[in-house]
Parts: sequence; structure tokens; C-alpha cells
Amino acid sequence: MSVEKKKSKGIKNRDNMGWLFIAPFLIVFLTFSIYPVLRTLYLSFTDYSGFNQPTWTGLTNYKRVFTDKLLWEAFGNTIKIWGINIILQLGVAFLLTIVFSDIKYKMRGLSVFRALFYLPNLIACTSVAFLFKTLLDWKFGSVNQILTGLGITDTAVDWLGTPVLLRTVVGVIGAWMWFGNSFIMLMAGVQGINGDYFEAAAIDGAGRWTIFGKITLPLLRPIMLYVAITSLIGGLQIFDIPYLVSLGNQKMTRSVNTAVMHLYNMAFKNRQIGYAGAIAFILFFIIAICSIGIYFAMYAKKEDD
Amino acid sequence: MKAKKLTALALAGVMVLSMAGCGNSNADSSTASNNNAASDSNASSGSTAADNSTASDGSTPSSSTGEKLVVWTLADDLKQFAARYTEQTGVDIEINVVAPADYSTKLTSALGAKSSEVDIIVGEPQMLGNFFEAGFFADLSALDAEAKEQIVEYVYEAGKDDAGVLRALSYQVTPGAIIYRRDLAQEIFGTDDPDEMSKKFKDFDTILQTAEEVKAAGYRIFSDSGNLRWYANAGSAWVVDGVLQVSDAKLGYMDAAVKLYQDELVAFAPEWSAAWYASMAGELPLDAGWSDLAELEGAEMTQVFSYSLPSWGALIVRDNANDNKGNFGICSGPCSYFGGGTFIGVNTYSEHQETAADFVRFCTLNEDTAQWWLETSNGDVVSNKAVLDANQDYENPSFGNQKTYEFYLEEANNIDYSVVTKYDDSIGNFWGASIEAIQKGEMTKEEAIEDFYMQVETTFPEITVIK
Repeated sequence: MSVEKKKSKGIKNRDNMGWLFIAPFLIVFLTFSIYPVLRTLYLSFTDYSGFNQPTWTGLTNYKRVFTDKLLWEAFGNTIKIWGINIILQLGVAFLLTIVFSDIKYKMRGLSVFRALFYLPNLIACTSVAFLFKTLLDWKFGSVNQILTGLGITDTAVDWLGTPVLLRTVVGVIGAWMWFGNSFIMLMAGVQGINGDYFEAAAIDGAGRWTIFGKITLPLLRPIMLYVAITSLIGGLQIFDIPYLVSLGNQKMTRSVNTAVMHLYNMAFKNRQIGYAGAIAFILFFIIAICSIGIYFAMYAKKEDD
Repeated sequence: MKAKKLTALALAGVMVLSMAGCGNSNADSSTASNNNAASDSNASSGSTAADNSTASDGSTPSSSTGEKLVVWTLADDLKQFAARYTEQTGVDIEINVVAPADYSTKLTSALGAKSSEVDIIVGEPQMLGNFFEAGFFADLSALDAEAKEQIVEYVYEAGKDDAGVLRALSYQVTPGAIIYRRDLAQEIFGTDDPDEMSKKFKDFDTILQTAEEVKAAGYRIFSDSGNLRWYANAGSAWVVDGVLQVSDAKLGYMDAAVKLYQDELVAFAPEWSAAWYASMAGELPLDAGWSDLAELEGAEMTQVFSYSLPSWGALIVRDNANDNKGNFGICSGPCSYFGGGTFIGVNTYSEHQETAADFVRFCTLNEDTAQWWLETSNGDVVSNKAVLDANQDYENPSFGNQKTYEFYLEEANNIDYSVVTKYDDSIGNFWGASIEAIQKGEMTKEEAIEDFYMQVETTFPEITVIK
């Protein structure tokens, strides 16, 4: 009896040891992730400015979100930038995946290209923004000098001073930074597909496009879902590049003002932290709904097959 | 194999080192900043207080009370004040200069947690409202009577909270002016007399007329149309009793800024650009924008006739004037205004309230200090009325022997602090963006004003907008 008791106690103790092992992560996670989220939720129902004692204002901030014309303008900008970004980013990544996964092309040096394509992602955003600002300068940027030098345009293009062009530029920068990332994931997905399928299809006489459409794409669906959802989340939260390329220019700041930039300005420039909290939660719900939407869209397709 | 092992070892070493670096970084940086601050205050006390520099090493008690004040400030000025204070009282002072962009955040997080690690805190006028509301600045009512008597009125007003309690004071005033080129004035108008020049800048219409005359002579009135922004508050505040005011002065500023831009009456060199600095010494390329001057060889050249800047800006013009030094004059614009200035106060949670208040008093309400600072800073305009009075007859060689302290005292006395609101920065930016949209022909005046109303309404729901 006593031996049994001792044994079970020993096991119990060992069970509890688990908590000890996850404690470092758990403490950091609770302190730096969960607490700030809950605190933001609380503040979003108050009039907190960072300086005053927060007073409960109920749903006032949430009601204001729906009448904030600047926020919806910013949301529109976000969608426009994200649209350009995602089409280019996934388009280029897919194209490269097709080229590199084709057994007939037998492309060499995949690991070298993978590293090269991923490189832009390693450069700090500040440097990327500065690099493009320099390249695209209206008067002295290399891009304009090449364009006018080759006679493609007569006059210099004001890339950074025309709202539509600046939004496009921001979208293209995003795509340039992230296409390598998407490519790596898609390529990993392709490499995870059993080579027998391709071989069998090739023996049966299937062409390149048939193989891609009937084998590669359907089997890539889980990875595509992952890529689509992560780029949606990243895209709707875009902040650093538009903030940096338009820094110091009030007018251009507004033309690439994204939802998160609006949130930042409300919290730290206009000191309306409570309201910024409400924007953050609305943004969270929008992103959550879009993600669920994508998930179901993709799985509904699967059932059709 | 050996190489692999070595690499692994090296990588592990790097990781350990970097982690050790992380762990210690706080302690390291704080001691480092302490050391820096200590050495700074030693360096600045330097020749004047050689005996004190040993005291502040900490080996011997540095003062009779053994107290030490910690200051968080925005600019280097207070280092010199601190050295002088230490020299006179023996109280040791540690100065930490914080970048303006980080100051609010640093102060908010420290004082939000009721920290007593800092004794003296500062703020620029636009930050003060929030800091007062948060209760960071201790009550300085004990100094109120002295301040009211000694300090230029607008500074005294700016240092009071909504309830009228004095919480901060400044050792300087920053009244603005038009700084103009005397030689060009002679050439264009046949006179360089400041009173005559003030007439050329008396309102927006006259400024436009002057701009035409200056352009006809081959020069430009301003570096860019932003020079007019200081006068947006002429006559009325942006917000009165919670209602947005788009007064005639504001519309006048808008029209004038658009005309200056569209008729190319300015040189298109923004403030702080290389061309702007270059213009103070002579010629600059037209339409330089933010470009490097070396890239603009062969461009059409011009000269800038005048600058609208607060008193610290006059020192920038003076220090970049090179051969033009002594060739500038100072006159009034459409209204008196001020820009910036460092206000000093005591941290509510400081454990050295009395000593800290004494330091504020020393910096702001002491005539000897004010006279000393006026000489040491080589041109800063102090807030002490008596000292400005005493220096009224000083003829400033950098400005054609003009009596600059007399001029600034009068401008400072004319500043109407009641037109300053906490919204000025944001609303001023919205108005500036609307002006830019009209200048570049992207919006009509009506559209731009409509858009301005929308921005104010959505950003500050508490402000009523009557269209």
C-alpha cells in the first residue's frame, strides 16, 4: 500500500514538472502577449489618453470607428496596396515554383536561388524604404534617369509625389520583399509531393500544364491556404514601408495612410489611446473574418473536386 | 570535421556573448549614462569649478546636504546651468539629455509608474498641457508671485495649468520675427530701416505686394511659402469654447501661401534643407527642394530676402551667414508669435522637492543667472524682464547693430498666449496639407476646406465644426 502510494506520488510530481519546464515561455507569453491584449481591450472602452486616469465610456469608441471617414479611407488604401502586393507576390512566387518544380526543365542551383530570392526579406525595412526613396527620387533617382535616358518618358515621373504611383510603389516593395518567402513555402510544398505522381502522370502522357493543374495545384492547397492567410494578415497590418516612404510629407502620408498607420497616429500623435484600442479590435475582427472566409472558400473548393 | 567543430564552438560563443550582452545591457547602459552625465557635468564645470569636479566623483560628499538632483532634458542648455548651480551650492546634478522624439514616451512611462528617479523634468509648450493633466509637474505656487513679477507674461501663462496653478517656467523666450537682408533691402526699397521693413510685412496682402517687388529685383521674398505658417494664429485661436474657428486671418494665410507658390514668388527651398542653409550666406539654386547642392550645378540662382523664424532661428541665420554676418536686420511680421522654448519643472514624485524647486528658481528667477546665460549662450533671449530691460541698449553687431533685445522684449510682451491651444500642431498640419493641395492644383479651395473640416471632425470628435 505504502509502496503504491509512494509510486503514484512520484508520478504526480513528475507530471507537475511539466509546468516548470513551460514556465519560462508561459510567463513571458502571459506578460507580453495576453496581458497587453486584455489591457487594450479594457482601454478600448475608456477615454484613456496616456496621461489621464481612464474613465469608462462604454461603446463610444466602437461607434466612432464606424463614422471615422479617415479610417475607412485608410482601410481603402490598405486594400489597394495589399491588392497590388498580393497579385505580384503570389504571381511571381507561383511562376518561379512552376519553373523550379518542372522535372523537364531540371533547373539547377535551387538552394542558391532560394537564398537569393529570400534576401530582400532580410534587409531592415528602414533600409529598404530609404533605398527605394533614393532610387525613385523625382529629380536624381536612378529609375527616372534610366527612363528619361532611354527616352521611355519625356519628363521625370514623380513616383513618390503622386498618390496612385506611391501606393503602387509601396505594393511593389512589399511584393519584392516577400515573394521569396512565398516561393520557399510553395517550393517546400511541391517538394513534399510524392514524385511518383509526377512520374506516373508523365508516363500516362500528361503535359506540363495538365500535371500542374491536376496534380501540383490540388496537392499544394494546404500550403496555399497558409500563404494566403499569412499574407492577408501581414497585408492588412502593413505599416512600416508606407510610414517610412511618406515620412515628413503630410499629403503623401495620407495617400498611403493604412489602417495601422491611422491607429498609430491616433494613439501616439493625437493621444487617443482608448480609441486606437477600439480600432485595433475592429481590425482584428476584420482580419479574423477574412481569414475564416479564405479558409472556407478553399475547403469548399475541395469538396467540389 | 575540425572546421565544423570550430564553427559550432564559435557560433555557441557568439550566442552566449550576445545573451550575456542582453542580460547586462540595462545595467551597463544605465551606468554608462551615469558616467557620461557625470563626466559631462564635470566637463562643463571644467575650468570654473575645478574643486567640484573631484567632489562629484562621489569619493567625498558633494554637498552639505548630500543631495543629488537628476535632470531629464531635451537640449544641452541645462548642463551649463547645472554646472553653475553646483559651483554655487555644492548640490550635485546629473543631466540626461533625451532626444525630443523619445522624451514624451520616456517621461510618460517613468512618471506613469510614479518614479522618483528624476527630479527635474522639462517640456516644450505643446507638450505641457498633457504633462500637466497627467500630474507630472509639481505645484510651483511658491514661486508664483516672483514669476509673475519677473518673467515675460506669455511664459508665465504657458507655465500654468488649466486651474491656473504654476507648474513650469522657462529661462528663455522665443518670440518670432522677420529676419531680412539689409543689403537687399537697400537695393530694392532704398532703405534698411526695421520700422520701414515692418510696414512691408504688416499683413498678408502687403507681404504679397512686397514679394512681387522682391521678385522683380531678381530675388525671392522667402525660401518657401511655409514661412507664413507662424501667422496663422493672428487674431484668433483655432478652437474657442470647443468650436473650430476658420478666421479671416487663416483664410488670408491660405490665399497668400497659395499665391506665393503659384506665382513662384518663393525660392522653393524648404526649411532645414541644404539650400535653405546656403541661402543665408548668399546665392542658392532656384527650386532646389531637398536636393544636395552639388547636384544642382548650372541651375538658375537667386537670393532669399527674408526668413520668418523664432528667436532661436535668428541665431541659425547668424551662424550660417558667413560673409553676410552683420548684414541682417530684424522686423515684425503681421502678428507677434513664439515657437518652442524649454520649460523646467519638478517631478511630482521627486524626493528632493525643495532642492529641485530651488534649481528651477535658480534657472528662471535669478537675475544673475539670466544675465550670465544671455552672455554665455551668445544671443539666447532670456525670459527675465529686468535683464532684458537692462540689455535693451545692446547693439547687436550680427544684425547691423540693431538693438535686438529691445526688439524681442517688445515682441514677447505682445504675444497673446490665449490664442494657443493643444490642437494647434495637428490642426495646423491639416490646414497646411489643404494649402498644399490647392497650391498643386489637386483640389479647389472649397474642396480643400471641406476636406480640412472632415479631418478635424474625425480626428477630434470633441470639436464642433460649424461650416
